[in-house]
Amino acid sequence: MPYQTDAVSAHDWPLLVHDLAYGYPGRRIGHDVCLSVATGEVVAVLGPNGCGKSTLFQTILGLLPVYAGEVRVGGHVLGQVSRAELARVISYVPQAQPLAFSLAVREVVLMGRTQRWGWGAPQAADLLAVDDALASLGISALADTVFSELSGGERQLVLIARALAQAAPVVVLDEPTASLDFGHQLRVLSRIRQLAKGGASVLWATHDPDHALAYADRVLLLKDGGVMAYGAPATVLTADRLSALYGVAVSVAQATVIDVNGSSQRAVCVPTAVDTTRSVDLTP
Amino acid sequence: MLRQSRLQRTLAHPWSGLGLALAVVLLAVLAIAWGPYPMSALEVWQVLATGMLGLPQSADPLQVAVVFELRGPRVLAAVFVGAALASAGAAYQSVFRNPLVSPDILGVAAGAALGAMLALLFGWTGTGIQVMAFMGGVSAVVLVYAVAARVRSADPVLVLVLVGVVLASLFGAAVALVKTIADPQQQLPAMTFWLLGSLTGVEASQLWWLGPAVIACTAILWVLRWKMNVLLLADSEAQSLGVSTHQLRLGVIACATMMTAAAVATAGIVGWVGLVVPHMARVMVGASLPRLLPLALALGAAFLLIVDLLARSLTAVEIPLGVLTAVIGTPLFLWQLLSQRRGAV
Repeated sequence: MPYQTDAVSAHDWPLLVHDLAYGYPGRRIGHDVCLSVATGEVVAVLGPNGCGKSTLFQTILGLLPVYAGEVRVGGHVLGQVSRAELARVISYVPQAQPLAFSLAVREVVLMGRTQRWGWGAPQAADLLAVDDALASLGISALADTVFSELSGGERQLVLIARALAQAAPVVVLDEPTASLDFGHQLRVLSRIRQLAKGGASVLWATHDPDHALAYADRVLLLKDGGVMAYGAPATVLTADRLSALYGVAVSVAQATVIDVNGSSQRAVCVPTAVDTTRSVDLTP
Repeated sequence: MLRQSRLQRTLAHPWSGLGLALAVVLLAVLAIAWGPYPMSALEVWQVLATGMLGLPQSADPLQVAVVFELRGPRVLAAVFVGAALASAGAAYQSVFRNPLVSPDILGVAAGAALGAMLALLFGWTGTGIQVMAFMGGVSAVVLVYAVAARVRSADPVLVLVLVGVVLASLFGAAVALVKTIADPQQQLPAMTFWLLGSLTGVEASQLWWLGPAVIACTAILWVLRWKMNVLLLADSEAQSLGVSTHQLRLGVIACATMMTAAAVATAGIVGWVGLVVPHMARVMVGASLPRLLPLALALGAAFLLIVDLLARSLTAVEIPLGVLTAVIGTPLFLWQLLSQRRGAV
């Protein structure tokens, strides 16, 4: 699969990574990573534990130095831009953990605006942005509750609201659905698509190939720090590649999904023990 | 699920800061009025107002002396020391994301104690002890920070705490050593007394550097309040929000250390205030620093004001502050802990 190259403008491609070598100071983790995320696009990154996903994300967020190559975020070149400026063009949604102290949800979301008011105090526009972000995710009712008392899924939605309030063109999500129940996984996933629909370029790490198949525009497979494959989900996520990536036997089956919009075909990953020649009927 | 209590909403009101300040001023006037030479609060207020406006005093010269030379400086010192310890504690706890942290965590108290002990051993008095205590406290933290900065770790906060605890115990050992070689008749009682904390004999001249130090450091912390909030998050998260965590943490630690060292140099080791007052304030208004800092400041000032009042009036021989803060604070704190709703800590 040929990579998307960098012969495009920063306007259409808010996130461009070219021949990137990355890692911790004194320890290189990966190299030769190329990827690009267009406006309104969701790119999923898959790979086994320890493949370098989180390190790659930290590098793109400007938290770790770039070893070689180039990362362009919102028209800025990483390494030549201050932390405060970077926060205006890229936001980060980590796996939500409880905080040691009791902060209200509203206060956590407001932190997304920190770089906008500088040394002063939040302005009316900042408070408005917080209300808007909470409302658009349907969690306005949680505004005055204590963040650490929420369920994992609600916490994750709050962090997505914070990214919304931050209003950066690029959003990076690191395994936002890990350790969530089934319902909250789907709720968070649909919010990821909503972010993209709102004009964000979304880079998203996930452990679930099915989630990538259903919600990503493009997929990057990361193995031992390098790119194994990159392209459209249906072409990248093949049984052979997934088996090689995770070291377990996997098949990809076609499922017929019937809902209010009629029936459609969708690829799903299944363990090889299942008979993959038979199509799975998902009639509700 | 916890919603904001009525108290929280009241304290979040823009005018609440003014209310807190007025409450502390009122308490201070009452504390000045209280003592073996009784005055009414109104008399104290008249003498204070006349003196501050620079008008000729019409009151009894004895009253003027009581207000401006005896009780006034001591009450003001209690206000500054309490406010400094409590707001420094709130800042330290936020920076370290840990409610069990006190301003002593990086060795400021242990370093100040060592400085003061050495000054007492050399037979110095007054200003000499204060300067040595202040220098000792500040250099201890500088040393801890310098060592911790050389450690490569994914968790710089943990490294700081570890180095602080280890070096503080070393300073503690040095204090014990100085006490064993001190003259047991003259120096040792003075050392023990200093280590328990007291505001006896505080003079107006000391306020001229304690006051500005506390006010300046508090003002800087106030400017940093919104950014300090972001430090409550993991470092990578805070950095992705545009905050330079290392510089900010250094700035907050520097301010909190300076005001703690100034407070300890004036009052000796007064434990408990920096640990528990910020905690009590947090239970009332939550952890967000724009609300926490003013309340911790006012509570700390009021608490030490009352404790010092009791220290000088309960018994004929003054009870050390370090003893009273614990004796009065512990039941208060336990009562709050037992009566609070789930999850407010």
